[in-house]
Amino acid sequence: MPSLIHAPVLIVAVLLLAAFVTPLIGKRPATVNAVFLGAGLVAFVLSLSMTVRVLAQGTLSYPVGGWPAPYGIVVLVDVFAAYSSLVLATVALIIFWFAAFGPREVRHNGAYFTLILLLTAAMQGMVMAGDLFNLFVFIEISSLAAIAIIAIKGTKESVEASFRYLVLSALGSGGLLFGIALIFMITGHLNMDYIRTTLTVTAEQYPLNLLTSIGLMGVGFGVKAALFPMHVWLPDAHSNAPTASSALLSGLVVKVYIIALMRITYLALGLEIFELLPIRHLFLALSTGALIVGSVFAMVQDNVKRLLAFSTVAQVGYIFLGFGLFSQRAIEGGVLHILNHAVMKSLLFLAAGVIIHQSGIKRLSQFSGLGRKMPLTFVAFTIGAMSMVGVPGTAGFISKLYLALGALDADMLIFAILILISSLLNAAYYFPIIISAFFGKESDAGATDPAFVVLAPVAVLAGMVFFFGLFPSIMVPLVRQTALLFVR
Amino acid sequence: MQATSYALTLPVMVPLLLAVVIYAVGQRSWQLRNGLSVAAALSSFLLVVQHYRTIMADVTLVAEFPELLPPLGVSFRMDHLGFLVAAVVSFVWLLVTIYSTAYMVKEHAKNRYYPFSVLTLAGAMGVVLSGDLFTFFLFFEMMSLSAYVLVIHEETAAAMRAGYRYLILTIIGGLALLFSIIAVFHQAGGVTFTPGGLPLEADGLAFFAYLGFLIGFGIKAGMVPLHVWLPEAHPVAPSPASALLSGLMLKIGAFGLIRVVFQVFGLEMMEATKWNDLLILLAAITIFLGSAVAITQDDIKRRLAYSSVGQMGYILLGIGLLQERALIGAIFHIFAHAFMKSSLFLAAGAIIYNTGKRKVSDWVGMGRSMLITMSVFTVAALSMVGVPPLVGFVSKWELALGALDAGSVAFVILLLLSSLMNFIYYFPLIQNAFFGEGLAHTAQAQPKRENVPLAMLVPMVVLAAVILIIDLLPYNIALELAERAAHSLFLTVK
Amino acid sequence: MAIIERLYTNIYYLVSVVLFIIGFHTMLTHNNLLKKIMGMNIMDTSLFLFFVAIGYIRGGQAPILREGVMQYVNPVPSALILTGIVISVSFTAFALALVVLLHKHYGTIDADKIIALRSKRHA
Repeated sequence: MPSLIHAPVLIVAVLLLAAFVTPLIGKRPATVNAVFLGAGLVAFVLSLSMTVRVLAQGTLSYPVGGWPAPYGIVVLVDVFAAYSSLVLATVALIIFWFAAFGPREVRHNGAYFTLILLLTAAMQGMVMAGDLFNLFVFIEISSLAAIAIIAIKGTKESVEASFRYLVLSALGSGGLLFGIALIFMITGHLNMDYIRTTLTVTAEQYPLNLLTSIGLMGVGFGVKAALFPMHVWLPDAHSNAPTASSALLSGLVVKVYIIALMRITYLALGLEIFELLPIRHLFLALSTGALIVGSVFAMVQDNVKRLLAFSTVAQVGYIFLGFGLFSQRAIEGGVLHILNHAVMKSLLFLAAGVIIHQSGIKRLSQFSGLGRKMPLTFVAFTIGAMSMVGVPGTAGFISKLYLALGALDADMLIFAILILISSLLNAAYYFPIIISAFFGKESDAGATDPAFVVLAPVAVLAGMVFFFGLFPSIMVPLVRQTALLFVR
Repeated sequence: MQATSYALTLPVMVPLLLAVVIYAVGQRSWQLRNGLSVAAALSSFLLVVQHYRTIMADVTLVAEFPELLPPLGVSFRMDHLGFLVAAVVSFVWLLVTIYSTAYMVKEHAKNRYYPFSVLTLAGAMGVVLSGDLFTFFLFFEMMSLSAYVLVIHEETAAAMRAGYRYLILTIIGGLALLFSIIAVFHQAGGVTFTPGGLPLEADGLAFFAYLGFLIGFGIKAGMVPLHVWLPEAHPVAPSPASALLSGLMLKIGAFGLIRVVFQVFGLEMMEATKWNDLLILLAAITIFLGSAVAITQDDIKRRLAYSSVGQMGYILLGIGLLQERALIGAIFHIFAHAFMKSSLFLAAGAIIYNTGKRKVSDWVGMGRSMLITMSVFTVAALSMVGVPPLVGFVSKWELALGALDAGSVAFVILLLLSSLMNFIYYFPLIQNAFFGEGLAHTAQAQPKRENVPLAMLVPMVVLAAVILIIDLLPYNIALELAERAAHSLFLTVK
Repeated sequence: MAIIERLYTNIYYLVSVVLFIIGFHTMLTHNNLLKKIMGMNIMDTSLFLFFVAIGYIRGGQAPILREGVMQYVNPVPSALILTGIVISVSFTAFALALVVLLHKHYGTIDADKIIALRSKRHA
């Protein structure tokens, strides 16, 4: 299929177009939903076929408008980009469904869908961008849309949380743009391939510029990806957003910045950077902090969504840990965790949203006995939680297994133990919830399972947790080739 | 000799699928639910014993699925040891399930009990028939987590507390196992159970792996000091579940240890490193402490639970001694103790079912009113003490011979001492039940008739009958299998 | 004199770094939400200056082909910064909208007071 070479641009274009169409096509929810879901579905199909093509024929480099690099803009879809795009498109589609048919938390669905579509388009663009400036533009769009889908709930807490997110995000963006400017200064290019080739010559002449640039970009991405200790904005922002937004933010948005950061390291800076600078050690130290701090803070939360948000802080640590360990299996584990965590955290957030909406209960201390009243929702929640803990057979187990194997490959026994201890910590805060929900004394709050149409995305995600837990081999070709981009 | 047989997956898959079906039909028809639960255990048993001839021809069956769950892969394997334990597990499970169809009538949440019981069976069969550490671990976790639901079945505060302790220790044990498996995979490049052991180096990592296995399996097997969950969890579960937990699930831990010691680390390495000394030491403490504490318990189920701790010590000792005859004793004791402890728990359950009396001191005169139940209890208890020709005697005999082979008379004395303690905590109970006069009102308070349903009596009697007669048969099939299993585990080195 | 010479040649970079720090500092330390937004704008502006200065050549002309002109200014940064300005404007607009909402909810635009109000309500 020759038209497939346009797929990367089409994905972004379709989502962007739909973003502008949804608020214009009137008030009938059916049409709005149709456009919204249709765009998501088209993006998914395109992403899937693009991934298949990339697997079969190798990296897809697409000059936008036919202008070749270095002057034209190039979209560069390698296996990592294809994998990320597929993860984004798949999980986003399921969350779209929930946003369309789930409990209504936002006054204007049309406007909300616009923001979600913008966010998704920007994320897709970000993982496929081949030059730094487009990357920056997409980062900004996604940041703005991400902030907006928190504030759109309109409550005091959500507005305040989104403002704090905005300030920190703007700081991060400033750092990023500064970093990009410095790189442009010493290379004269924005295209990542050209930067890499130029850097081999100029890096030695301007080490200070390069160092400052890497530092600034690191902080910029660190803030946006909520890497410990730059995660302070995340718990408030993720827990006060509408359910679908929380799932998108925790499941996908934080990871996209990690993907972008890693793409910059191997595409623009070159892998030598890992040998020249102690990036790995920094990753290892920060992810250790994230694992411990995220889990410990999650333990003391009483609000279910805050607990999930803190758990995200810890899980982001896993992904960075994979890149920090830098053995092939560890990177495979980190990359797999991008998918696995997207699936399970979205599942948990959607299930939690359903629980909160049906019962009106946010506090974990009042969850007692709720599981018997809404069994299906809580079974789904349990599946997500088991995956978080890393029970074998679930997706979370696979990433932990790969990470632990990778830790030993990198001769860092202590991190294998750390991963297992963090599983225990996860168990310590997830299992009491489930036990009290199923076996605790019943409270008088009335609650039932919602209609099938609401529960469908939750069920699909729960199925995916098991599917990727039992058949991870389906992702292995993509993940292995991605790891080979780093470990040659 | 090895042969591939994908039928090996059936004893695992059938109950696994039936668990889902049972949950689905349980809402509509309790007859179908109970029937299917029994059928699950029965089919598992039949699907195992159909391989009897092959196994007796010294053929090891394997089924490998390397493409599943890379990089470690999933595989199944049935050798003498696996066959014996699989047959024991599924057979006892069958009897206990029949028993519970009557016992559980008085209980609540039966639609939860049966699917999870069958799920636990699937997990246990998966563990026993697994061909590598990773598959072992997968099913081990499945079994342990679904057993949680059995432990907390009563949902009382005590049950929830015990269940939480069980859950936390299960998770810790699971993580310790996972760590060890990863370490073994890292060092040896594979985790398949290999006769003679995997190519491991006796370095720090391997020792940590050994410790991890010891912790993981020790928690499951109730090894002191990791037994803390056991005396809490076993008594609070419904009696048939206690029988499963104490009679079968503990053995899975010991079974795993046999696999690890002989087929992962290998005899040569264990002998060279002397790591088994740690196991022996812990086993000795376990034997002594379990038996001693059991004497002090008045609640019958707690007494039986502590007795289980002591009995597991025998098995661990048999593994740790690294002598063929000691291993025969250990393997045979897996079989023997499964039957003995299940019948004890089932008998105790029948008495509780009939009279609600959990305290041993209230059992005065019980033997006169509940003759069959108490007889079953007596046979099993005497076997525990080690009275010949009951099964408990054979395992102790082999263990003692193994201890002598290892040149340590101390363990023989320990075994005798523990038998004495068994005697102390079982015999007065039996004496009281049959001949005790006690206070007049206690004795008279016992029921006039033995009001126990047939579905409960038959499994107990079958278990007791096996305990009683298997050593009298001209061909002791369990002992034969244990001998062959131990022999093949040792054969690979010498 | 050499120092002054160097300062002179790098004056744009220097000023933009100074501006960046002023903006950064304002954003982080001021409690007034409006001042935070102003800080954000100062920071963005400093970056635009920096970016444009990279492409600027003293004495260079606008990149339109004419006779007699040998030196052109690099147009790429200027073009990019147009996009940057758009982004900055939208961020500012959105941030201001949020401040209006916050003022409606809390009656103040002082970050400390908002936090105090919120924690009081929780307690």
